[in-house]
Amino acid sequence: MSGGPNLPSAQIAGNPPVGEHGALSCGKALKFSPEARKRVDHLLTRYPTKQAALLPTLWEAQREWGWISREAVDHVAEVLELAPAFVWGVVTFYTMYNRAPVGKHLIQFCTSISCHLADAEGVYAECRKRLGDLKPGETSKDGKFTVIEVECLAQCDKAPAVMVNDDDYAVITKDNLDSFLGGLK
Amino acid sequence: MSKTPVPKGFTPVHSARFGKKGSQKLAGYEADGGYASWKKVAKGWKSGDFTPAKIIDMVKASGLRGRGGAGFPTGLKWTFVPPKEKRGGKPVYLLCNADESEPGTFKDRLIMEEDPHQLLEGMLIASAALDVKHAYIYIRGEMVRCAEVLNEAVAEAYAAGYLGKDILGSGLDIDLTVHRGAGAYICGEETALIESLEGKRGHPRIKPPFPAVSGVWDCPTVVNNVETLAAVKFILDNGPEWFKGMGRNEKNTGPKLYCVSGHVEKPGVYEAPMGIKFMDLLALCGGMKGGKKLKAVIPGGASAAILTAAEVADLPMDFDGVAAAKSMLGSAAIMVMDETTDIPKAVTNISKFFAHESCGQCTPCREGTPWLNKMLKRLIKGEGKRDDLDLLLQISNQMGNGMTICVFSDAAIAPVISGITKFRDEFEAYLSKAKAPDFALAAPAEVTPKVADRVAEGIHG
Amino acid sequence: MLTVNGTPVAAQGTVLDACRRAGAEVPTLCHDSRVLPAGHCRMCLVEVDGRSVASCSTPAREGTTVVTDSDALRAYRQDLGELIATEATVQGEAKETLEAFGVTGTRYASRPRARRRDATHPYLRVDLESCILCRLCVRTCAEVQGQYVWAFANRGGAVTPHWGKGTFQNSPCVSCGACVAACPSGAISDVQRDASEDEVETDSVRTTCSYCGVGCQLEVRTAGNRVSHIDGVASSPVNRGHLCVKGRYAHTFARHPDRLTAPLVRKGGVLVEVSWEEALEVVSEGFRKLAPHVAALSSSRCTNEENYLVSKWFRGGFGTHDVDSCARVCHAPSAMGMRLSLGTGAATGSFAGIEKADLLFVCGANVTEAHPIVGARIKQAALHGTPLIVVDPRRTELASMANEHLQLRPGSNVPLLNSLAAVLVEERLVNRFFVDQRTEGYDQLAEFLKAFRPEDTEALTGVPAARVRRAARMYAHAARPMQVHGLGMTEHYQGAEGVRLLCNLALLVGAIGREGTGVNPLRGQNNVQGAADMGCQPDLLPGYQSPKNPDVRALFERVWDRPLPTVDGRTLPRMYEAARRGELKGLYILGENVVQTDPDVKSVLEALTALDFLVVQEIFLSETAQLAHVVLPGASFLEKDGTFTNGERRIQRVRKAIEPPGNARPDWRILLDLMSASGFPQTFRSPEDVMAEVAELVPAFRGVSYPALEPDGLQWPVPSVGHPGTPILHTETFPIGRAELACVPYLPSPSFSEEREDTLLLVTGRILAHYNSGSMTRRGGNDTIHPRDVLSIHPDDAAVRGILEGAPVSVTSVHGEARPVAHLTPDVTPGTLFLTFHHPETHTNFATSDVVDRLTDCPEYKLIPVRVTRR
Repeated sequence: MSGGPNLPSAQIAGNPPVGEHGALSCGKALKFSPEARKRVDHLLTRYPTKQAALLPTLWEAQREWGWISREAVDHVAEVLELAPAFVWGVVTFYTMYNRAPVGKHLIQFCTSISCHLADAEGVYAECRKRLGDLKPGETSKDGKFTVIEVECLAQCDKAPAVMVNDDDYAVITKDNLDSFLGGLK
Repeated sequence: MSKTPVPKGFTPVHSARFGKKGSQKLAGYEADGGYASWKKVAKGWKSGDFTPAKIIDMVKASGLRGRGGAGFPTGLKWTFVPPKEKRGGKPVYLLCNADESEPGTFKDRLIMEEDPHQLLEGMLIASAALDVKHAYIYIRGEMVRCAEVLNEAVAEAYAAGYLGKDILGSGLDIDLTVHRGAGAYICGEETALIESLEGKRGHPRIKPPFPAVSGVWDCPTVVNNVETLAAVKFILDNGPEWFKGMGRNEKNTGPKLYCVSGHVEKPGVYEAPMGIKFMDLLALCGGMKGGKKLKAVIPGGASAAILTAAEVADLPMDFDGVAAAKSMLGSAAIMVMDETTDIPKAVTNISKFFAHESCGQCTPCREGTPWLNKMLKRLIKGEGKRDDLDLLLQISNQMGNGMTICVFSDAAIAPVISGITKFRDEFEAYLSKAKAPDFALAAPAEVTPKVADRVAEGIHG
Repeated sequence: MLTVNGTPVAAQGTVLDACRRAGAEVPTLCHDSRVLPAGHCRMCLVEVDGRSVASCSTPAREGTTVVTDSDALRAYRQDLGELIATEATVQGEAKETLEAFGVTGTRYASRPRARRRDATHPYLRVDLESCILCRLCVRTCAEVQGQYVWAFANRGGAVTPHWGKGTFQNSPCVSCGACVAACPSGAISDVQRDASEDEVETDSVRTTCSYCGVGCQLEVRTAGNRVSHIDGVASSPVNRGHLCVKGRYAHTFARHPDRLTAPLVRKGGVLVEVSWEEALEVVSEGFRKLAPHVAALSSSRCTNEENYLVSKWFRGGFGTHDVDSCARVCHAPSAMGMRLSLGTGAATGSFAGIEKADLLFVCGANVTEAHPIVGARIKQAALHGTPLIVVDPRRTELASMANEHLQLRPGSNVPLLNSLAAVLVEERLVNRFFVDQRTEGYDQLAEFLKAFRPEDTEALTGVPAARVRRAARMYAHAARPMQVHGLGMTEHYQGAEGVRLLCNLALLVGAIGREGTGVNPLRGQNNVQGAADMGCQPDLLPGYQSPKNPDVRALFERVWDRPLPTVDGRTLPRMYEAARRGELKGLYILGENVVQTDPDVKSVLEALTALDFLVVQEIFLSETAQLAHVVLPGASFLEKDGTFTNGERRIQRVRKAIEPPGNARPDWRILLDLMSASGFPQTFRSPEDVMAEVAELVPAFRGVSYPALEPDGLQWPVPSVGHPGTPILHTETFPIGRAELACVPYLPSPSFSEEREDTLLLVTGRILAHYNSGSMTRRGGNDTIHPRDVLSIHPDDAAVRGILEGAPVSVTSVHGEARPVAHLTPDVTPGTLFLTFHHPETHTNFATSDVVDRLTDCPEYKLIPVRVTRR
C-alpha cells in the first residue's frame, strides 16, 4: 500500500462517478456466518493453495448473501489473501455469480442451438411478456421473478430447457408456460 | 429417465443401469458387480498383480480415445506424464473434465446423474495407474443437482473405504474432490479448466508446456472426460479385447454415447458401438419429427461444421468417419435439422454463443467472435450488405488454424464457414431482402446481454 | 540452427528471439522482455515450416524454416490491425505499429465499450478508450512489482483492465510506473511525459539513481535544460528496467524555485547573496583561522569523488581527522560488526543472489518501501515459492508474505538472534565442516548460547519459542539461505553487536562466500557505501586504511604532500559534544539536513549554534542551512559527474543530464575551489582525475577507472586493471583468516530506563514515497501521495488514549515532542509505534534520544519510550 491518507479525488470531465466501476455495494460490511466460515475452512483443506478455493468460496458467498456485492468481494479476498481487484476479475469472468440482487425465482432460459430449434427465444420473450413486459435480466416488481437467457444447459433432449434457481425444468413451451409459472410460488 | 433403444445385438455398457431404481446408490452399484475391478486392482497392488504399467497397457490396447471432443488416444496421453524420478517430488493430479458445455451435449450429465459410481471407479483405477493422490471432478456450475448426486456418491465411496487412506489395504491413498465451475464454456478446454481450478479466470494456457508435464499447480496433470474415465472401468471389467471388439475399425473402438437433439421424434442419449451409421442412429430415435425431410446435421456440437443431408447419408459416426466429411465427432452431440430450419438463423444463434463465451485473451477471437455475430444479426434482419458474406468468410479465415492460443476460435468459425459455403443461397436470400443495399455502416445491435452482464453494465471494475 | 528469411541463426529461446537475432522485423504489441510471453495480441505471427504460429510463445526448434513476411501474413496483420482499431482509439507505439501496416480505420462497425477514465493520480493517467488489451499492465504489475493492482474484469469482447473500486489514487498502486512504461497504447500514460510532449527531447543520459542504496540505473530524458521524464535501463543488472515512485518520478525538485542559485553569506544576521569569489574567500578564511578545531560532515548523497575530496581537504588541509558522514547514523554498525566478524564491512554478496537463494532471511528491513526495487525482487522470489523469514516488530508487506514472521519487541534483537543460533547448536544444525575450517570461537559460543534457549528468551522478545525453532531449522535446512538486513538491526544500543550475531548465523551454517547466501546490509543512502569507502569516517582513511599504520601513513603523506594529523578524530555525536563544549569551532556540512534527521534535535541545535563558523553546502535552504554563516549552492545528482557505490559494492557512473540552476555549481568543483582558496591546491580537472588518485591509494580500487566502469559498473574489490570485479566476497578465505564467532551478551538499552507504565516504544523510519528529510521528495507529486508524517498505532493503544484515525497527536519523550497524525493499524503490535521523519513540521527527531550504539555511536532511532496523547 502506498500508505497515508488520500486526498479527495480530482474529477475530470467525462469521468463516471466513482461507484460506477466497482462492484455494486450492498451498503454494509459483510462477514461469513460461523457455519459458512466453517464450510470455507473445510474447502481450504481440499486444495494445495488458498486461491484454488476461490470459486467454491464465491459460491458460499452467493449462498449466504444471494449475490456478490463489493463487500462480499472484499471479504472473500481477505479470507483467501487475494487482491480484491483479482477476485472481481474472477467473479466477472463467470456468468453464474450474480452481480446484483435477483428475484426469488431466477428463471434461466437456454437459447442455444438445440433449444433454438425448438423456438426457445420465442418462449423466453413470451415469458418476459407475461410477467409484465420484463426486459432481459429485469426483476418483476414483486421481487419474485428475474428472467434471463443462458447458454446450453445440457438438457438438449428436453428443449426448450429451463433452470429455475438450481432446479431443472424440461420442455417449457408457450403452451405450458402458464402452468410452469404457476408452479413457482 | 426412460431407457433409449440400442442397436440389435448390442448390450448397453455405460447406460446399462440408467433409469434403474437406486442406480446412483453404492448398494445398487455393488449389487450389479460394481467396484469389482477396483477391488481386484487394490488387492493385486501389493502383490504386484496390478501395476501402473499393466493398467496403462490395458487402456492402450483397448484403443480408447478421449470422449470429450478431440479424440486423443487416452493411453498415449497417460504415458506423457514424466516418470516419478523426473517429477522432482511433485504429485500428479487427475482432473475429470465434467464441464460439459458444448451445445448439444448431455451424455456426461447422465453418467453422473444416473450412475456416478462408474465414473468414480474409473477415476480410482486411473489414479492408481498414474500415481495420483488427489483427483478432482470439475463439474459445470449449472449442474447443481448433478453435483449433489456426485458428492453423495463420493461420501459413500469414502465411507466404504474405496477412497481415502490405505484403500482396501492396498497402501494406495487417493482423495477425490468435486469442484463446481461457475458458468464459462471455455473451462472445458483443458488448460482453461486447470486455470479455473486454480481459482483464476479460465484463460487457456500457451502450450507447451502440456498439462502432462506441467498442469495444475505446475504439477503433471492428466485431464480426461467423464465418459472416457468411466470407460476405463469397463475396460478393466471386460478386458481390452472386448472393448476393441466394438466399433468400426481399430482406431474407432468401444461403446459410445450419442446425444441426439433437434428435430427427431425421440431426442436423447443413445448408446451404440462406435461408428454406427447416422441413418441407423436416426432410426433408433424414431426418425425425423413429424416425418419431415432431413436438411442438415451438426454432428459434434456447436463447434462442428454443418453437414448436409447428402453428406450424412452413409456417414459412420466415429472420429475418423466424421473427420473424413470435414467435420468432427467432437462430443457426439448430434443436432438434427429438418427442412423448415432457417440455416442463417441457426448459424447466427451459434455465433452468439461463441461471442458470449470467448475468454477474450487473443485479439482475433475477442474481436472476431462478436463481430461475426453482429454481421450475421444484421444480415438476418435484412440489413446486410452485398459483400458481407465474403467479408464474413475473410475474417473467419483469419481466426482459425493456429491464429489463437486455443481452438475456440476454430470452433467459432466452423459453423459460419460451413453454413455460408453449403447454404449460400439461403444467406443470399436474406441479402436480396435487404432494405437498403448500400446503406452506411451502422453499429448493429449488441449481443443480447445475460443477466450478469446486464446488471454489470458500467459497473464492472 | 534454423533459418529466418533464409538467414541461419541458433535455435535458442523463442521464435521471436530467433527472428530478432536474425534482424527480421516482427511486430509485437503485447511483448515485453521483463514478463513471460502471453501470446495475446497475435501480431507476432510468423510462418514456421508453412504453419502460422505466434513467435513470442513458440520455442525455436532446430532445422525449421521461419518466414516473417508473406502475402498471407501481410493480409493477416492488416485484418488483425483493423480488428484492434475497432476496439480502441489507439495511441502511442501501438498506433505507429498499426499505421505501419496501413491500418488507419476499420471496415468493421466499432463496438461501444466501457471507457473508464481516471485523473486522480499525480503521475498516471488512465483512459481505457485507448486500451488494446495487450494486458501488459496486468502482467508487469504482477510479474515485476508483485502488486496486483491491475486485473481483468469481464469476458470476451467486454474484457477490460481494472483496478478495483474507487479512484486510481485510492488503489493499492505503489506508483512504480512499470505499467506506464509497458503500455503501448496510451491507455495508461505518464503525466510528466504527456506534459513535455510538445518539447523536443534533446538528450538521453544514463545515470545512477540517488534515492537509496540499490543504485538503479536511470535513462534520464531531457528537453531543453530540464528533465522530461525518466525510464529504467532494461539492461542494468541492478534494476532490469524497473524503477520506483522516487527514482522514476521524484525529479521535479531539480527545477523547483526553492533551489539555491547563488552563494549566501550572513551579514548583519541575514543571509545575503554574494559572488563566488567572496564566498570562497569567506569560507577558506573562516576555516583557516579556526584550524585544526574544524570538522567536516560529508554526504552519502554526494559522489565518491566529492567524499574523497572532503576527506583529503580536512585531513590534509586543516590537519584534523574530524571527518564523518551520515553513515554514522545508519550503517556504521554494519560496517563495524561485519569488519570485526568477517574482515570486511560490506555486503558479502550481490542482489543477483535473491533469485539464486532458496531461503530469504530479512531482518529489520522494510525492503518494499525503503529499497523498493530489491523489495520487488524479494517479493517475486517469495511469490515464486522461495521461503521467507522476516524479523521485524512491524507487520511489513514482506512480513505479511513470510513463512515465518518473528514479530519481536523493539530492542530485543540480541536475545532473539542468539536464540536462533542457540537452536542451531542445540539441534545439531551447525555446518561443522565450515565452522572447523573457516571460523574460530565455536566452542566458547556453543557454551555461551546455552543461556539463550528460545524458551529462555521468549518473555524478553515476545516471540514464541516454537516459532524461533521453526525459523532456525528453515534457515539451517536451506542450501542457499541469504540474509538482508536494514536499519532495524543497526540503529540500536547494541547495533554493531547485533550485526555480528547475523554473521554468527551465516557462519554457523556455512552460508557465506557462495552465490545466493551471505550477510547483506541494505545501505540506506545512495552512496553510504562510497562515503565510507572514501574515508569519510574519523578512524579510517580511504579504502579502510588506518592512519596508525606507518606504511599507509607514508603513502598518503607522499601522494597528498601533506602531513597527516596524529590526534584521533571524532565521530559525529562527539563533534556535537565538542561543539557544545566550545572545543570544536568550525563545521563544514555537505548536503545533510541534520536538524531534521539527526536524533535529539534540541542538542543538535545547541551544538550548531555554539559554533563560530558553520558552512553548509546544499541545494535547498534546509533547516540546517538556515543556521549557517555561509551557504554554498551545490548541484543535484542530475547536474554533475562522478560515481556512486551501491549496497552490493557496485561502483556506477553518475552523469550530468542538465545544468545546475543559476550560479549553483557541481560540488566537486566547489570543493576544488575551496581547497585551492584555503592553500591546498589540487591538479584535478574532473571527477575522473579524482578517481585516478583513489585507484592509486586504495588497493580495492586499483582497477577502477571511468572506462572500466562501462557499462554496468564494477563491484569492488577490483584489485588490478582489467579485473572483472568481485560479486561475492569471502569465497575462499576471510581477510582476517578465519571469521570470528562472537559471544554477545544482552545488555538492555539505557532507553528502557525511560519506560513507564503509560509509555509505548517508538520506532522511526522511512516510507515509500519519501526520502529522508524529504527536501527532494516533498517538492513534487510524491507529497500528494503521502502528504504528512503518520504515526502507526495499534487500535487497542489508540482506544485507551481516545485517539481516532487521523487525529493530531503529541508524541513525547524525555527529549522532546513530535506532532504527527495518528493512523490506527494492527500492523504494529500493541505497545509499539512507528513514525516517519520526512516533514520538518512533524518534529519527529525532537523526540528521538541521545542513546547511541556502544561501538559506533550510531543513534538508537528504533527504541524511544514515548507517551502519546491527543493534541
